[in-house]
Amino acid sequence: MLDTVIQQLLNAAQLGAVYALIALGYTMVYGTIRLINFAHGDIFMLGGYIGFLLVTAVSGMPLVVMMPLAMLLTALVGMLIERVAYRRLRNAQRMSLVITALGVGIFLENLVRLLVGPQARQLPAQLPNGVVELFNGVVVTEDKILIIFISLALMVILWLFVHRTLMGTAMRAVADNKDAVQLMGINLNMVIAVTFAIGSALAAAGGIFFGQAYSIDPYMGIDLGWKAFIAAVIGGIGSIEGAVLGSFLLAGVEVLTVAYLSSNMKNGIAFGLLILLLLLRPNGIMGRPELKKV
Amino acid sequence: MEPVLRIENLSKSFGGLKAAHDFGLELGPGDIQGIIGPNGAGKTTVFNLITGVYRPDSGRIRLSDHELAGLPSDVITRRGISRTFQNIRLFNRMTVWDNIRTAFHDRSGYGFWEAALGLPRYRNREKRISMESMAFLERFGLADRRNEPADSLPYGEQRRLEIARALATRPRVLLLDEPAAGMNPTEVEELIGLIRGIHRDFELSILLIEHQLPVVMQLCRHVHVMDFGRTIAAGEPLEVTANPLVIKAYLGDEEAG
Repeated sequence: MLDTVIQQLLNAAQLGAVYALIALGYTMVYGTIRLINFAHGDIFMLGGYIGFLLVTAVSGMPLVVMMPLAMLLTALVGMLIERVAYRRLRNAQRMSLVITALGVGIFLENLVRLLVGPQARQLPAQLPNGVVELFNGVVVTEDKILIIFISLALMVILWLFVHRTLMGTAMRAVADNKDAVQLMGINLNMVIAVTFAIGSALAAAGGIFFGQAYSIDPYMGIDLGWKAFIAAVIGGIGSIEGAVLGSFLLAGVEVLTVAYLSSNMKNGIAFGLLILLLLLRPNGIMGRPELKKV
Repeated sequence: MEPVLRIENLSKSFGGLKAAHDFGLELGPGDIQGIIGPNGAGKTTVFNLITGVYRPDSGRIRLSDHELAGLPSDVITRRGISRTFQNIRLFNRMTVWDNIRTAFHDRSGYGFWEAALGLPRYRNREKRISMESMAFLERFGLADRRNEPADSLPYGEQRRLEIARALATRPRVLLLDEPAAGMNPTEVEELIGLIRGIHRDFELSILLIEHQLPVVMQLCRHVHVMDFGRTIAAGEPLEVTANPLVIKAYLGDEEAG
């Protein structure tokens, strides 16, 4: 009994970690340019594929090389998308940006489908998958522990970056008052590009972990992207802590629903939770009411 | 002496409205000059043109030997012009401390990896920035407030923080947009003392927009009076305020009111 509960909690933590790695990109981009980047789920997918292509191209490339490289390449793609598709529209109607983001997402899905094919693929298992005994008879697989651990480490690094460096301070400043930022000598375009780069790199890490734990396909970003977006909204979009909190909460609800109620009810409960929470707290758990400028 | 800031024939129209027309100015090293005029005269437009918020239709803005017209705001700030706003624009949800730190952005002197790995250069630079930030906060009596969100400060302290933050970018020219707005006479006296202190300690030139005449009279050696985008008078404060055109455009309103 205890064993099953712990297994389920670990499953939830693993799924929550992947959600969080995606949700952070949603929340950071929203924070800086008030865009719900609907292509972000597809960046996550692309990260998984870039990882897949790297290990396929250079067989035996270890994960410690493949993952940072895939994160870097995905970060470059994220910056490219911002530069090509979003920057010119930054001062246009909000709807134009959102539609563009949806279009970029569909483009990425079909590009990958065209280049690599529609079938689901498995990333070669690169994480050790032995088992560790926690205590009397409760065993967990090493890969699960590593995925959770590395994800949490990435989140801690992000938090430190945002709160302890000048670039991080600039990112928060852009989120706070975009008009005043440039008059502090801060290059707004640069800060926004860095935001996209970091969000994309984290999503790539999520994509690789997801491919290790499950499989990758060109449309995996749709479902996972929506879930991560919901997690970010539950946590309070714009808030980094909120995105992480919302992700683990959502994953917990989903995994426990599947385990103890029914897998058919998973999405119903997840979306129900979103609606309920937004009725109670329209700005999410950590969100603060939007300040209206007079 | 060679002026620090020289503006010639600066013009900007919005639709048919000439917000600024043929504006000119020479600000020498250590000068304090003022721009006055009724609401909507184009004073803030001139500031927005100087700081690159608007792109001028025509005219030249030179900071020493560098042409600034047409450059983006962040580049202009890095060249040495910094400003405050009529409606205070702080990073409201960030702490006083982080507000000051934004001013050091382009002088971080360390890269992403140095920060990520916590290398000595990152730590040394951050230590220096912290010391400088602290010095600014102490100079402006805000050190005790450093961990509070900017929007929790009383109005007068928000003004001081905005001025401190502008100075932390190390400008050669400081633009103050109605620094005394919303202040009572006692606070205005304090502000005048503060601006005098800044002028003395930071070796910079100041250009200020102000509605409160005592501020202009006490601080400025040279005043520009704007009305409907045009400069209708310029000169010493006493001389300018005696100018009938000025009285009609600006002071006349107040007497009538």
